[in-house]
Amino acid sequence: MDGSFLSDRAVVAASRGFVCARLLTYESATEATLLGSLFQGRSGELENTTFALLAPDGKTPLARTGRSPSFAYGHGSEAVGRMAEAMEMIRKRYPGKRAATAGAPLPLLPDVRRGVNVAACDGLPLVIVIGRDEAHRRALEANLAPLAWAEGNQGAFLYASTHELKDLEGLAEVKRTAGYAVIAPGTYGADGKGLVQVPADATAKTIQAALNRARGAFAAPEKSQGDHVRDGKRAGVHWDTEIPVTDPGIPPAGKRGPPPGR
Amino acid sequence: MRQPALSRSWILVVVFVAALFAPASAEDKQPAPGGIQWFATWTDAAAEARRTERPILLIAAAPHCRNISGMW
Repeated sequence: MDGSFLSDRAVVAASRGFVCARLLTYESATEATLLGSLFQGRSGELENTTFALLAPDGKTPLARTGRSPSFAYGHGSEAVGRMAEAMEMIRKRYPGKRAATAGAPLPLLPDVRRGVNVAACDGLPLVIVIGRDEAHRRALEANLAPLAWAEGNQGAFLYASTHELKDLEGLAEVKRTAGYAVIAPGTYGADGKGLVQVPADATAKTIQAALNRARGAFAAPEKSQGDHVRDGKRAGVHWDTEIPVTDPGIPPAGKRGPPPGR
Repeated sequence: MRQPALSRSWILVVVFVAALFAPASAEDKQPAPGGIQWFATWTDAAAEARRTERPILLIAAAPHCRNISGMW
């Protein structure tokens, strides 16, 4: 598929009427069951990528489910427009009972480790909520949630949270104190560096100012897939998935597969 | 020469994943709306869909490329 589906302005605008879920394949057995029930390729196994538009019940497909939006909307310059139009039609059919983001929870990655990695994949800064304990962490998450859904912040940051200091290992220039830390992920998402940090009692205005500073200070590195994979292998990088990778196009760990970028 | 089916499939995956999650260009970032804000777990997304009665845009991808993290 061409690359414009999910960064297309009309699709992004239409997505505001949807709950948008981007799951991490092979990182949850429960989610693998769900994804496998939605789509399986010719191999009959869970493949790397899945695309679906679902009714609010989370079960009823509203478009052809497949490996990418191209399965439903085809290829070429008009495919993105078809997807945006279809999403607008679905929005009208399911207008929802609340303003799109009113009261929405903080959209958290499953944990800090995966958060840093996904931030590296996306080339975005990661906001880490650091609580003193679970209750405190949840309170801080609730405090940050409205800012995460502010129109100007949507799509600009990723979020993770913890109340375990060990989760912050590998993150330089991050104070081990409760509050909100924004970090720049390292190239391979295995480490990161603090950009800004504000304490737990910071006001929404102060937090927003910190987000703005972090945004200004962050520059996503350019990455080429071939170089990234080659250099990563040389550096001994290896991502351990939660469950085995079953996509026939992805070689098992340590085995040679199709060359990257070809 | 005809490529093996596996290789063609691999090419499609590489193109899809690399393109799907590529950050918007600087030009695309300027006017509203910005990007999509994703829920990252099904538990959270399904609960939010039930709460708001909104439909779901679902995407899944592995956060590594040939077991190298830091790239879709």
